[in-house]
This record gives sequence, structure tokens and C-alpha cells, in this order.
Amino acid sequence: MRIIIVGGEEKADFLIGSLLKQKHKLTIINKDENVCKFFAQKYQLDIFKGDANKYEVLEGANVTNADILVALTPVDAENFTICKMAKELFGIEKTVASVKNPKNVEIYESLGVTKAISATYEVSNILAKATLIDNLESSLDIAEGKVTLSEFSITKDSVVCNKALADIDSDDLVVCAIIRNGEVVIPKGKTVILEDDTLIVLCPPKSLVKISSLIVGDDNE
Amino acid sequence: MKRKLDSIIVVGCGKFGKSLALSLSNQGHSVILIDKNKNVSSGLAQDFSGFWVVGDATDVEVLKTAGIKSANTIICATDNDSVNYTVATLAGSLFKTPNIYMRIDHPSTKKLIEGSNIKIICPTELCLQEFERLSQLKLEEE
Repeated sequence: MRIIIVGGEEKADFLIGSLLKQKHKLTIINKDENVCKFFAQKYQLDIFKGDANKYEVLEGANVTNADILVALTPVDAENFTICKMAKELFGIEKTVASVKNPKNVEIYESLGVTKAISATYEVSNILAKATLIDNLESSLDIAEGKVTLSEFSITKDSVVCNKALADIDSDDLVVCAIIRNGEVVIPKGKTVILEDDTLIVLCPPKSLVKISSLIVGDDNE
Repeated sequence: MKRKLDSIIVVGCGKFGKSLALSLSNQGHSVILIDKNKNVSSGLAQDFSGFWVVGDATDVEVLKTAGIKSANTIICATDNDSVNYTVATLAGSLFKTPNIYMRIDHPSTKKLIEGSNIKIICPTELCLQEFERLSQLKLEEE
């Protein structure tokens, strides 16, 4: 894919390294001469020195119809503007903006940025889920937040331990896989859940707490 | 009919923003000035009867503190096109502010707001137009 990376320094460096490994075609735009020189020495790719907030700079870097533009400058408003220009004026459908103010995540996404990422916002979401739910190893929102994929560790006190999958009383979830002794088991209705299994569960995000009680049980038992 | 008591938010206390805020306030309008720099008040004449908010206007909480929900007009007058564009977009899309003015340095920034009701003030273009008028020389269209 053709990806434009604007601004940033350490963040951009890490991203460039990992994207190049996946064989994407990258264009870098950065207004700092030293950063440009650093990237030029480290990587083999097109680097444009300039302020991407200006139409002429984006035009000069030939960004038209690239697949993704990622804006990593330290100023939220500039990342927003660059992403909007990319989308409205250069036909770039997918734009990603890094933001410092977590409130800007939902605001910018509602205003046309494909994805806005704030470290604080992500950490706070992860913590909110972690404190709500015991034995939840990790969870991931996919399909634009409509589905949550979660891992549950089963102990001998878990409600569903030694029960068959079909006995779990809920229409709101799918147990897509069980990790047992390091192996993946694709379960059927009659598969019995054992102590030390890890269940991989798909459910709507709003059902996560209810399903956690169903699988693992409540603290107050 | 424009009511004199409508509140007007001016973002950015540079030469343009400061003069605008003072004039509007002297005309009887209720003016709120937003600037990131807290030294805004020095340099504002004693006769500025408006309010000021110290903060980053691209943060919606700062806009709300400045009364964006009930403001009739907002003028984005900082020296940064992207800041002005972001504030103008927040004002229009989130708060439906009726009259939005945006100062831009680079004429090409205009392309971003085509089709919206944001009104542009571009000093570069205005200078060119004024030169044309004074000199009677025709300048090429960019």
C-alpha cells in the first residue's frame, strides 16, 4: 500500500521501520531538516521537507490517491487539518491522526478522520475494562467497536468449568476457540470446558460484563 | 436584523484579533477573546469591556468556557491556518455557530472550506487586490 507519513519523530521512526518490513511504499513529509536528514540516512524512501499544512507541500509530495495518510505532528489541530486536506483535496480515503487531547478522538472521528489515536484514551479504555472484569486477560474491539474479542481464563471456580459449551445460557456470545495446553481447540456444543482452558469469546461490547459473570462468575459468590 | 447584544468570540489576540475585539466591544457588542497566552491582557487598552479566556481554542472545553454554545459569531484570527480551520470547523459542525469568519495566510487553504458557510479573510489576497486597485495594474490570477 502507498502510505504517507507526516511529522513526528520517534513515532514516525518506529512506524516507518515496521511498515517497511511489511513492504509498503512510503512517503515521508517532515518540516524539520534534521529529522529529514536522519530518515534519509536510515531509510531508502522519498522524503519531502516541508510543512504539510500547506496545500503546495502535499501537492509537491504527490500524495494524490495514496491509500493512507498518517499525521503524527505534536499539534492536534494540525493533524486534523492535514487529514482533512488529504481526504477532501487529495482523494486519500483513510486518514489517521495522532492526538494529545483524548477528547479529540471522538470529535475528529465524527468530523471525517478515519481513526484518531490518543495513548491516554486507549489506556483508559483498557483500564476501564480491566477493572470491571475479573479473569479477563485481554480484549479487543473489532468491526468499528461493534464486536469485542476477549480471552477468559478458566479456573476451577469459574461458573462454566466442567460444563459443556451448549450449557452456557446465552445467545449473545460465540466461543470461537479454546486454548488448551498450548493447542487450539475449535469447540462444538458438546465440548466440555476444563480448568486452565483459555476461552476466546466474541460478543457485543455491551454484553461483556454480563458474559463475564456467566463464564467466570461474580466476586461475591 | 443584527442585535447589538449578540456575543462574539474572537480567537487569537494578535494585531487583527486585538483591534477587532476592541472595536466590536466599543460598538456595544459582547466580546469574548480567547488566546493561549496569558499575557493577553497587557496591551489591551483599559477600555476593553469584554471578557477573555486563556486557553487553546482548539480544545472544545475552552470554546465552551468562552460561551460558544450561545455565541452568534466567531472570528478565528490566529496566525496559524490549521488552528483557524480547526476552530472554525468545530464551531460550525459541533456548535452550529451562525457566523464564522476565518483568517488564512495561504490562499490555497480556501479549497478546504469550499461549500461551507465559513467566510474567509485572506490578507495576502486582499493586499494583492488593493495593489491592483491603487496601481491600476492587472495581476495574473493564481
